[in-house]
Amino acid sequence: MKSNRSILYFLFLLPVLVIGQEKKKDTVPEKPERPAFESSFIIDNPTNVLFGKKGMEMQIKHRFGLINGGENDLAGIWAPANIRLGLAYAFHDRFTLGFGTTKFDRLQDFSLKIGLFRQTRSNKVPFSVSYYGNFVIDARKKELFDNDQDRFSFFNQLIIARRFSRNLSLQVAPSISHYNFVESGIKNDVFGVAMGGRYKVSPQTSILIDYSHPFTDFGDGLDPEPGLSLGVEFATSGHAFQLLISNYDGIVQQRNYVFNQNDFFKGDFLIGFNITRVYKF
Amino acid sequence: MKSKPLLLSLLAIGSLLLLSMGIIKSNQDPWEVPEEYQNMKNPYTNVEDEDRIGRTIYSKHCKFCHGSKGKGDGNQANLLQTKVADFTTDTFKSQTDGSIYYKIKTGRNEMLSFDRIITDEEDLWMVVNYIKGL
Repeated sequence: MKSNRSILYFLFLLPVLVIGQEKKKDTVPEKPERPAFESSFIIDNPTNVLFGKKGMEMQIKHRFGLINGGENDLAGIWAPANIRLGLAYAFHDRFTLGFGTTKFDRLQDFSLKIGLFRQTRSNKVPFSVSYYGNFVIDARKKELFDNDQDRFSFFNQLIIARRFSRNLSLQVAPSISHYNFVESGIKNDVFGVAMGGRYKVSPQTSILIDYSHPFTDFGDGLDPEPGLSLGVEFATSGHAFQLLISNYDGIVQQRNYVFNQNDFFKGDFLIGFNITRVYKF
Repeated sequence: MKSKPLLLSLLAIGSLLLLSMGIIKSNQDPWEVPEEYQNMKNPYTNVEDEDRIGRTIYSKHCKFCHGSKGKGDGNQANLLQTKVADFTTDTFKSQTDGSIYYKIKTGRNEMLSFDRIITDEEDLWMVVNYIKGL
């Protein structure tokens, strides 16, 4: 618990420390590498992608029901679905704020993404580092909560990404998920690491993989299951379409890391899609 | 019964109108390019596009109207009022690189401005090189 808290403080402080160092580096001009990914998400986890200043991204995420979740539900397509609608706006080339609303648990998320390091074409900086954090309010009925603070949860993630070639990009993203209130037997903080990759098979089509591993020991069979998502991405001038299968149905990151009980290899996976559209003002 | 010929005539006129909307396309007016752009030197003329940036950007942003071979026969071309430029003609290829650069960058009417979309100057020149090679 104590070590988790130390990591949490470190993650909060890191953006300030690194931005301070970046100012000194700016005296040496260095051309940034081209984006490692097409949109701000690689299925379930955020990517390091930031839009230029005054860019706005509209996000639509849809998860159908589990394929093995019921009878006569067309592989989950007729089952209750989870949906998130979101917007993110870039106030600066390295600073994006976002808001989204999710159907399951009526989650309202406010997010922040900061570009800390950018991979350069000369490889002087070999990878990009970004920070992603969110603050989520559970907006279900007040009878479910003793205090307003019990509605709050937080997610902090460092995204370390590298564009290896025109076709291959990979990222590793350690994170801390925090819930102010959880049922007994579940811990408030969960440390996790995500690994994701994109391989382009044509100028507009890519294969995606995203794996998220929570490191925790709740015991009593409550441990969250790791997330595995596979997808195909189609990119157009302003859109990115991701068609996917995943065992994560939560959409909001901390809900997946802390509460997911779907085991991909036992057939608990679903069909879903993400659509993003970028507008430049 | 009398209304049948009238109905048929109206259908025929309506069909012709719809067809004409698809067929008649205004030819492009001459596109004035400022002299500074006409004379602009392409700094990447002899640079090999190892990352296939020109091709990738063309596929994402240009192919829908200009077609995969640049003949102006993309999927969206029929939905436009203006005739889409054919990049394979001698007339098009006789332009300077700087003129093509200017047209992509600024756009006009139905042709989008890519100034804010292709923000890296090198990437834009790679598209110019790719288009000239079609």
